[in-house]
Amino acid sequence: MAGGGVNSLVKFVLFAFFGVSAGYLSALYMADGARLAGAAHAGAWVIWPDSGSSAASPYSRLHYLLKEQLPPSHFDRLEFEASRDDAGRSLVSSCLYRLEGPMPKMRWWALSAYPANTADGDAAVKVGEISSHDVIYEPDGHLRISLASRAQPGNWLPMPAQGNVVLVLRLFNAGPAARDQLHNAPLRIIREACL
Amino acid sequence: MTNRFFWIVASILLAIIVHVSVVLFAARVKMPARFDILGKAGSGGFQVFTPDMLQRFDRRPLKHMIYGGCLVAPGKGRVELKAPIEPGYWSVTLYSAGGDVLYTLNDLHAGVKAMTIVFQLKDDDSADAIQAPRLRNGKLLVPLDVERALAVTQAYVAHPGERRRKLESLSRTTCTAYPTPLMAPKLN
Repeated sequence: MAGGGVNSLVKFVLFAFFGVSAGYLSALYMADGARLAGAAHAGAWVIWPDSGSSAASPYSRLHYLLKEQLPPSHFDRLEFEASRDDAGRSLVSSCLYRLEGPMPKMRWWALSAYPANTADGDAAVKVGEISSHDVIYEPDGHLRISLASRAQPGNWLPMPAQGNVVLVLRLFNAGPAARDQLHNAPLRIIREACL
Repeated sequence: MTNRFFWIVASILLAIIVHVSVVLFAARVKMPARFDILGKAGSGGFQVFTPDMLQRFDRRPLKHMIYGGCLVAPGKGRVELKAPIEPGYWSVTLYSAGGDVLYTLNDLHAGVKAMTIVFQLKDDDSADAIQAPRLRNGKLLVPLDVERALAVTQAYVAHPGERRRKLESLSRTTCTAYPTPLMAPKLN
């Protein structure tokens, strides 16, 4: 009798553990940029195309709130996010990266490098940022930016000194052409060297 | 076998319930703190965000953007947001308690040097009711169907030299609440 009770208790604990874990983790997975959740992928970049609109996926809202961000308005800006390079490796501050490509047409843009851990209390202080007001384009109109924690010649986006990094590219008042090409990576992310 | 099948089905059902709850109710956990920050000033009362306030509002702000905001409670009466708009990017975005974007306007679409936006509750019973944002007497009327919302303004500082001017301009933004007078009880 007692053995049966213990057996049922074990089953209940397993049931609760599996159910809660699976439900919570699957929600996090979807909000992390799953295509099934409405996220679009462009190379290493992930974008929630309808963020802030009435057609927005509920996972898009969850994505931003879990990162302690206010969801951007699709009407105002397109926001691309990358935590990996084009080869699928995590972006880390000990490496040097080259970002390059033709930027889509828009009014202006800003590219920021944040610590991946948003729980870091100084995250806002450690951000590196570069914008269309600061850069020099290549003669062919392409953009080339070095991403590194130490100063680099040319266009340089400083990275936080330690840990994993997330890039956020915001395109303001992007034109219809940019909105039609969300599946084209705005910039390639190529790892050049690591310490 | 039947007993094992029961636990498997129950676990899957529990997983679905937890999944849906996280998706639907995360905003109910994450947004109230933001409302509390601005709610101390009541409906209206525009505040330029200090670094500490901004950290609690958004962990990934733009470094060269300055932010401010106010609580808008159209359920208690209309709220007028008056904002000077300096050359360069400026925007105002309205967020619901559920984390949804209710309304956005930026300088490009405003096309003026100063903007007055009136947030008011949609009143379907009124003959004068508006269903979509529209300009009236130089003011932009924005009907809302929520009792409370957050208005967050942003202005981009392209160069350090213009930071002070942009901050002064942002701090001249006002948010004024005009509480709806209580209706006198009808006498029979």
